[in-house]
Amino acid sequence: MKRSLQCSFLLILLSFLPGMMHAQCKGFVKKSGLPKLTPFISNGQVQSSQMRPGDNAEIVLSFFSGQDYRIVVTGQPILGNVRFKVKDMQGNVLFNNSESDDVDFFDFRVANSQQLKVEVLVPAYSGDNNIVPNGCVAVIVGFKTEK
Amino acid sequence: MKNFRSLLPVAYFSLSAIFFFAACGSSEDVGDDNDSGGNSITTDGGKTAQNVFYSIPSPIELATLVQKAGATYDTKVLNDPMNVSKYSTSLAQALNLGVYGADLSVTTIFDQTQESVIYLKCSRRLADELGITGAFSDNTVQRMDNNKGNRDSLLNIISDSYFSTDEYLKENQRPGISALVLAGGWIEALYVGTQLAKSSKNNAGIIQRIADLKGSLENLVSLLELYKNQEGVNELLGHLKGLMEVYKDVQVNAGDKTSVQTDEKTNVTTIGGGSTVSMTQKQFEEVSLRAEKVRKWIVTL
Repeated sequence: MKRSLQCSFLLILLSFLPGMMHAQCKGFVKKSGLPKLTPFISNGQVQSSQMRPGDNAEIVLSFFSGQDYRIVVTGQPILGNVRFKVKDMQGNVLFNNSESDDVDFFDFRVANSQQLKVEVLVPAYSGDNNIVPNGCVAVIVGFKTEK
Repeated sequence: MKNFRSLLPVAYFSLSAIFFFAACGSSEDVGDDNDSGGNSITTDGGKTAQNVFYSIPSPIELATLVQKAGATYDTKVLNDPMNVSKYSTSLAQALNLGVYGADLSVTTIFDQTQESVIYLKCSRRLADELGITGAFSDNTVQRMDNNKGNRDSLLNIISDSYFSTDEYLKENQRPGISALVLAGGWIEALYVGTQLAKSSKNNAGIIQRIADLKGSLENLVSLLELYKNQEGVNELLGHLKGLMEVYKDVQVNAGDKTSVQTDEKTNVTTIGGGSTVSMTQKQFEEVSLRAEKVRKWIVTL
């Protein structure tokens, strides 16, 4: 009886594990990512992922002429400065944050409506610790009407 | 008390395990543990991107584009608020949460405050039925009420609610439902755009915006493909692929190579060049018919 109670308790605790890992991202996107969009209106979508040094991700987005846009790419501090590039669909680099003081956003407008790709890279880990960090990275997009 | 003490080592071990995994993770969890249902593809340089995401323009943005292109508001094209009680499956609720969100965006952009409140209530009801907590609350209704007449604030409140909805679904391992909400919103925005274009005398601007949706339709289909085993998604994909067939024939005009320029006075960066698309009247009519068909399927689910 006591043993089965212990096992149940352990299972209940472990069942919270996936939720806690997602919660790690959740608090981060809402608190650290969304405010960086101001004064742009969010497109209402959360693109976030747990990433480790050396990991990369890609997001394909649509942009329309006549609007101003902000792309925010932000990672938890444990991951260091997250790199991102904005490319056209032919792969030409249009913006590289590592050439702009590692800023975590890019404001722009497009002359013609088009698809663009955002490539995100978490830099390699340079610490001495054997435990490789793992953290949340989020890409969020906002728009506003051109003035 | 004694029994509780005997559980402490177990609790200590469990919590240690939780914090260890939460803080450090393991090599196996990367890529699988993404919140948004991403997948893997090989990019241009032959490098594999571990997480590939597809983003869909929001109904707020699409409705803004249609309004700026000269559309005139018509309440008849929106989904009947009375339908909200009919949606009993999660498929119907998710798709129509997107539909009502788009209608809420349209009514707000066209300054129809009373109707916005009605569509907000429809959205809230479906969000509640889907078990999405916190996205639409009494506070949301109060904030909408307090900001009557301030369109930008109202749009921010709506986008915050849909951001919270998306976040809640992804954080609770329901990215397929999130994709359906996005699909419902995109389809409703397309449907409303085509209907308003048909009733506008000078509709070239609206038709151009509908042509511009070609790329985002491809993104939407790619996103839904990730959930094609989910109930109803294959049928939805069938409708959208029919729409893609029409868009496939839309003319793509090759433009200059993309370039980036920043205006020194305004500090505004513009990405110039890139291809443009143009749609014939016949293609517009076909898109309009297809949009009507899939939208009817959704609102009568």
